[in-house]
Amino acid sequence: MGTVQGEGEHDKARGYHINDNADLLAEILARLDGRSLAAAASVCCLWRAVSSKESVWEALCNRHVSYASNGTRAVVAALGGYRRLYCRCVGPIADRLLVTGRETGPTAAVRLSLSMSLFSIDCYERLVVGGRQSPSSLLFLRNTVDVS
Amino acid sequence: MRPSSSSSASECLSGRGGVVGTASQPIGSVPGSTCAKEEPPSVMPIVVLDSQEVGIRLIHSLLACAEAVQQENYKAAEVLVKQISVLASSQGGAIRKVAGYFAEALARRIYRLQLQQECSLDSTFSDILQMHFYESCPYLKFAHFTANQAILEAFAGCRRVHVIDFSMKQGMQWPALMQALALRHGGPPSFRLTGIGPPQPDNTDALQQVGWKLAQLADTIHVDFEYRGFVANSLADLEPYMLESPSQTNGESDEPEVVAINSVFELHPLLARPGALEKVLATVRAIKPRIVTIVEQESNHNAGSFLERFTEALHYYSTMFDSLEGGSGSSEGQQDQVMSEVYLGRQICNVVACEGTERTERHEALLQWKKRMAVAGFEPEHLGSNAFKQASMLLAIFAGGDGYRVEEKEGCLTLGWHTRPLIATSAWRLADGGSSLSAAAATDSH
Repeated sequence: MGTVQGEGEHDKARGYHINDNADLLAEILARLDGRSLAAAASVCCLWRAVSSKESVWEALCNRHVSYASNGTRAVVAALGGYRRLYCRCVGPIADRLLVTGRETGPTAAVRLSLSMSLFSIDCYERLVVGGRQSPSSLLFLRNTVDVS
Repeated sequence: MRPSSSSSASECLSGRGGVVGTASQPIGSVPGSTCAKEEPPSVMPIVVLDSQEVGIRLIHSLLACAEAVQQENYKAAEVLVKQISVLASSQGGAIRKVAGYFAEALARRIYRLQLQQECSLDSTFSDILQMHFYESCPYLKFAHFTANQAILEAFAGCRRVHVIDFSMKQGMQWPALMQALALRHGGPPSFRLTGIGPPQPDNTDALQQVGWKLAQLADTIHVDFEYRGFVANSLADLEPYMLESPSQTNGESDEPEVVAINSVFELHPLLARPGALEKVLATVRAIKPRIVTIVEQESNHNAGSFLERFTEALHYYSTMFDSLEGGSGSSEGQQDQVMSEVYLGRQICNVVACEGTERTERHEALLQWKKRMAVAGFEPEHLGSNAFKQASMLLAIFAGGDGYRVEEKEGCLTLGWHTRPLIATSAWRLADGGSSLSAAAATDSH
């Protein structure tokens, strides 16, 4: 993970640099897809800090289904946060269902309740002491899809 | 990845030559230890054996052995059991495993091996097996999600709710319901959960531990939660007064408690003792629940002769094992699959090798449960379209999801593999107009 000091000084001579304003960077990163956002964490310290912000991952989740109501936000935070919600549930579900755009209407409500249900099971499994090494109720979402 | 060389077990059962009948070759002349390619001199020797043909012969041998057992012709059965093992070893995938479990169960029955230790349910071990079954395939998740949807809808607008779970185990059904209650319009109700479970062999209080974990979760999402565990050898030991809400002297409002009763695979074992199911359903009635959710295996492994039961079970478990094949490539996924097969194998052993009160896997089909529930004074509560949509989406995201099918039949939902339904969720309410809450609102009287 390199620093950007050398490049920054050089670029400052030219004008605005992407790392100059963390809030602006957050706005930009919030428009990435899940994989790119995860990769962004390894660019530099600032990008790692910004890309782990819950608001960025919340924006990403909301692009699929609306998780924006206050009640939902509190429950998601309690169960582990938006980043975990995306990585464990929303992202894999979107991949599986091959849905790229935002969903509205009854299908969106079903997706919301399904992803929240699976997320709550994931959280509960992490409470289990002893027994399994790692929670695996959501393992099926990480399986490779057989397209043969 | 499915091995391409072996046909699926259920294909063999329903493919060409699917006639139930006696063995296609003379019984006494099969050599005991040689490979399947050698034939007695009176039959044309087969040089190249097609895998599918061996599969069909395997099924025929299994059925012939079961018929021999039914006729108490144990000498013939013994020979056939050995033949089955040889044939099974040349197969791959689901059919080899299914044949193996059925052959083992037949052998136990033939030799009257001491079944008490093996088939009796050591509850800790069977819980662990069921957890692996929960992870590796969608049947239990389907059961939980569809039942939860029915319970959620029945609890709409209620401020105090109580769920009595006959199948507590690890409590995996309830986090999702608690989350849905936390997010519903108007905020969560006070949620009381009563978990019923069998006594533990090592005296650990498993039920209480599960309650603590659920309480932790409820605390994080700010759902007012109360829990009580009941240890019972049989559901028939329960009495209504044990499950009713404590008197309302703790300062709570007069708001009555709305009750839901949930049973996942816990009703069919009651059929092993006459009168037990009737007693349990009478207890359920006495509690006056708003809704009763029942999930059971969709197959008849309880009626008719031994051969009929064996044949039904062979079809059912072949389809089940087929659906488990082609699962995850990860080592955890494979372990889940193996343990799920052991879980199902113990059921097979019980269906085939046990009798009387030991035979607890007395599965019955939805049609039969409907009759029993009607006799006991319940009427169906249709599962809504939300339950169907959630179940369909769940299956769409399950790997290998192409084979699973959700079907709706007269308000009940079934999950199956291809054309064969395997488990069924149904919901019920009291037939005389419902629980005490809606009695006042009932428009017609009896």
